[in-house]
Amino acid sequence: MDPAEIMETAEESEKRVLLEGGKPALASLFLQYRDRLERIVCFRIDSRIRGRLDPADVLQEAYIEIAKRIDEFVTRSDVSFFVWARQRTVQTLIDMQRRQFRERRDINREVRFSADPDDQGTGTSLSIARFLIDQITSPSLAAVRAEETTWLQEALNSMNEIDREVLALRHFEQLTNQQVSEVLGLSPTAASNRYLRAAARLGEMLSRLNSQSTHDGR
Amino acid sequence: MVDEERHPVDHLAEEFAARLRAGQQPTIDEYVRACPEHADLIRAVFASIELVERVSKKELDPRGSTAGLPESPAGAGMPTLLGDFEIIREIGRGGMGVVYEAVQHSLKRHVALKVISSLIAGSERQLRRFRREAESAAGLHHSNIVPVYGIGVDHGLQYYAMQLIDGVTLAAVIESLRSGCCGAELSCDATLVAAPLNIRSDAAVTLSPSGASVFVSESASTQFPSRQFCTDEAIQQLLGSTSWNEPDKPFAPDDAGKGTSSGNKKTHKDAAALSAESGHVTDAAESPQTIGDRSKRDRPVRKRPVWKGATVRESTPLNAVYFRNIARLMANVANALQYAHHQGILHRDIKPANLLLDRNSTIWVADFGLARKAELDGVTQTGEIVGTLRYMAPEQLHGKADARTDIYALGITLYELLTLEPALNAPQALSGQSQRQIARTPRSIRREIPADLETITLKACASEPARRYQAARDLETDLRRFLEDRPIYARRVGSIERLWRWSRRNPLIASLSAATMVLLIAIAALLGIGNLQKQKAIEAIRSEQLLTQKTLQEKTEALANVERERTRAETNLDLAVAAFEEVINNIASRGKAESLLDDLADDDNIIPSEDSVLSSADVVLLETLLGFFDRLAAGNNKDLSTQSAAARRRVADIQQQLGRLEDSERSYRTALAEYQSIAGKSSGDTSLILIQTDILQQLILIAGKRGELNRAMETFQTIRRLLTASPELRDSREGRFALATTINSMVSFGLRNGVEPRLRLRNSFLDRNNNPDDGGAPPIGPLQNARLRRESEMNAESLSLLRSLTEEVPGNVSYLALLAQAKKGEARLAQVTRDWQKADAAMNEAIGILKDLRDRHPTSARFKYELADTLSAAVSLRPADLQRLSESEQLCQELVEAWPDVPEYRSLYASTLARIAAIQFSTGRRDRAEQSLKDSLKQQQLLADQYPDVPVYQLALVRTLQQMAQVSVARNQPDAAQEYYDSAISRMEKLSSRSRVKGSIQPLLTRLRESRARLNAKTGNASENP
Repeated sequence: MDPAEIMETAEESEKRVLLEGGKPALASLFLQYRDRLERIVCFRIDSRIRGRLDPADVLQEAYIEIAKRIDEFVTRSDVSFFVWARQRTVQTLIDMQRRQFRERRDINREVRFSADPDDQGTGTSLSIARFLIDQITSPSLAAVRAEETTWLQEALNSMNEIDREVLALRHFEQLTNQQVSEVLGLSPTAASNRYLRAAARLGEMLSRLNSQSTHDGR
Repeated sequence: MVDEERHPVDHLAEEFAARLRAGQQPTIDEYVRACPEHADLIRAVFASIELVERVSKKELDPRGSTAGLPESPAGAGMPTLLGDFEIIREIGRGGMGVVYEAVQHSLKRHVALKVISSLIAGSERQLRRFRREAESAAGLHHSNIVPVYGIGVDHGLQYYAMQLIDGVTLAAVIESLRSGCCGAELSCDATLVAAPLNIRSDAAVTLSPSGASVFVSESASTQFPSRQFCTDEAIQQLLGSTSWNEPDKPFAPDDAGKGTSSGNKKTHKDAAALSAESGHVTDAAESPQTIGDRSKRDRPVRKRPVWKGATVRESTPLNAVYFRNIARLMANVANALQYAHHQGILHRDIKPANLLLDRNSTIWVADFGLARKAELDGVTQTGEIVGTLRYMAPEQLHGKADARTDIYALGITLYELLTLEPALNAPQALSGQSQRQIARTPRSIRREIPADLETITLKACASEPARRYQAARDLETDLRRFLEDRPIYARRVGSIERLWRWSRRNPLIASLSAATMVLLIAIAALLGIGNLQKQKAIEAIRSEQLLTQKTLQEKTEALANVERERTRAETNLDLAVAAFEEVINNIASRGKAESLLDDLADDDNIIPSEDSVLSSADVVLLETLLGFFDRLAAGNNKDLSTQSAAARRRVADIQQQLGRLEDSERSYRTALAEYQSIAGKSSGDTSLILIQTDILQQLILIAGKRGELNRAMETFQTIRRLLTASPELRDSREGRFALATTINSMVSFGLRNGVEPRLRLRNSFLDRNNNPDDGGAPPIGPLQNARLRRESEMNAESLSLLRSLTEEVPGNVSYLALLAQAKKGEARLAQVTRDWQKADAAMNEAIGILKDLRDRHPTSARFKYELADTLSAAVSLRPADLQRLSESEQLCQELVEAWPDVPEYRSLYASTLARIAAIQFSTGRRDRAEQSLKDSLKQQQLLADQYPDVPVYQLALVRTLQQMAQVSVARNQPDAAQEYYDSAISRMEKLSSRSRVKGSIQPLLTRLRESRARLNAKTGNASENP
């Protein structure tokens, strides 16, 4: 069975459920994806305001936003409900963070990277970096793991933006290829190729590192 | 199938990642072996996947991963010892952390250990909150509050220890009762995971889970009891199936610490809240095992409930014992809250999932999770919102909280325990808006809920804090007064008062209706006082009304010019209309006395008019409302067209009720035209078509009442065209149901107008030879035959519609009830053609359906009433059969006992007794007949005394008095007969002196006087000639 096909029909049924069931159906649909959305919020949230902004609050606000705009989704959107809800959630997070920082910035780009060193947004590289830093401070983390983590951070930073984003969506946000393609506006084939290329590139870097350390060890 | 769009290695990569996430340890080599042609790519890609997944795994699973907490005691590299505590197992988890069962070594006791997750620990605010929670809770000593033992930090993990309770959460109780699955099938030796799977609905609406309220048991032997207390047992306790020994201690601070003594062997487990908070268990159960299982991992098939607002759910019936037990438990919770509030501590997260019921029927308030010392308010950032949204008071959404916030949450909890339904619908609860109004009153969901308990509930969860109980103590007092059957302090709040309050909250908007308000208050006062005092009040209202209308008109005109006021006005009018509708419904329910009306119509002496069911006060009230709606409709602001049409329709309803059929018809047609023009603008709106159908049905009723069957038929055809015009509506259930409803009213009105032979039970009182089977009906002519055929065809159509509807949605109450009606129609039609066998079969089927409904909804008065009514009506088929009548009598008796104030029930009871008497007379059992008639008389007297202004009750009573007099004459008891006549005449005189039905009752009064005079003459003669 082709998973993409299964998903297709599942998405159609989601739309139908929303059309027929109205808000109550929306609430229950949203709850289905809540955990995954929370994961994404946790990943993208700026660690500097994590103390002030609860992921649960973000989801709360995101839900209100989603409920408000559900007609947009039902009538116009060509992506799946999850991808659409994710976009709205990320947007909500950006808005809330911006409010926290009281800064006016361009927040319309979905994929953003730290070309600007002052950027406090939700760009993938920053999210990964922040996230990895958190990892290191975690008490349960072994020294080896810390080294690995630091390396990964550097490796990812050396990659181009789209590659980094594809890897983040697939692994940190745990999106499927289909969803990644919808988020990035690529064809599934292109998204898949992009992902494999990025992963292979990272793998090459990793094997170079391994041979290097073996070499050093001698 | 092969996905052409993706590289094959991508498929494998996806699966590889999924397996890693599921905790498996796939090797890269196994994939290389399976797919050697891509070996290099696989090695490179999979190596990075391994790394990235490993790094991302720990922190990002929001609640799914343990985030640095011990997964299990044997979990790799995780501490099993935290300070003095050895972790035994996990018993629950929530947004704030994980709860474990642990042993405290120094004291050799089992405790519940709540450990904050490191993900959250990263947040300074959360940590502060956690510490505060433990500190404040540790200071509380109350017999209904779960004791907190201590707080600690180890391995960089924050934790606190508390007593283990062997109990179930009320959330589990509600869910179990709601799904109706309590009983044998719910296994009592529930394992740790079995119980949580029961909880679904809480998860469905709890978007912001806070701490898991889970506490594990402490037992002397440091072992679990052989069997733990389970939801099923708790429910049996609540329903009174098992003995209930309530340790009903009033709050006494000296009790402090009692529950904490280590000698106290409380035990507990409640994994219930576990999945309520996370749904984690289900997730863990499905890890991808094999290649090709990817799709499942992509979208875990998690059983989440679909929120069903309108569907009929079959929940466990609740009894009086249950309601009392809930009141008692909530009184104890209120007592605990009062105690905590007194210490300056708010709970802030009261909800069913935080209330535990143990084996000894003690209720425990758990998780003073978000509590904090009230005086430290400043520490918390403004706007910080904690607590579970659904139970949060409106002001809490704005970061404000006081004792009344907890009272609100307890009120919502009480609401849900009584109704088993969420107090707020899901979007409302999630919206976080302050306009969280409870949509339905508890008794509109379950009529069996005691009225006082409803009043208490609504007061506790009023959206304005000032309207609630001001202290938990007051709530407790009222609950205890309810338990002692003493009057409670809280007052009922009707929609009129709600409107009044609303206007105070919205002074600007209310300016429009200041005038309306005066009128409303007057009406409210009127409804509150007795019938007799009404007369005076009505006069006052009348003059008030003139003023009101003038002001209202001015305001309406002013309003029309101010565009920005438009939406406000809409809300305002909607609210006003809703308030008025409540008034109308109040009157309408009092007015229904169909059985008596039917019986009276059999009697040549009395011609009941349309409005004879209304008291004079009702009439004035309705006239007043008529004026109001008339204004509203006439305002006819373009922007308020919907309200205007609705008002016009209301006008028509009132006119119909007042018996002004012509006016009513005109109003209905105007309303119809207005709706049509609205529908023209928004074509395809099926709800508008259904409203039109509804109005047209009223037109059929009017045509039926006026005997214009051809017009009724025309109207019916219009409805059919409307309903079948769009295929969407034609095939929809609403559309088919509307059609079936229309046919039913068509058929029943056809029957009422001449086709059906009148069964003159009345005659049987004095004419023993009268055979009711003949019914005195005229022979059926060819015209009538054609009509009969047509009606039979229609009825058959309705039956087939309803059959398919009931098959599609088995158990739908509305469909089944209408099916029973249609069966009754079939029986009546068969009766006209004297096909007794068919009539009997159909009637039996109708009775069967109603009995089934009654059995499945034993607490529903509606089905009991309809069954009783049908049984009583069925008798006209076989008058000799007393069986059904006595069944009906039994049901009526139950209804009257349970709801002594509902006049329909009493009037059905009276007429059933009268029918019994009629049959007993016809079969010659005169003594018993007389007794039955006397019983009926008694009921009618009660009714007539209760509603001295309602003509139909007076008329029915007079008729029965007349019959009693005739019976007495026949038994040669002239003195008794005299008394009956006197009583009848005096009632009639009173009625005619103040009644608007004067004209129609004058002949009856004359006849009564003549009868008495004749009797006088006879007895006079008798005494003169001994």
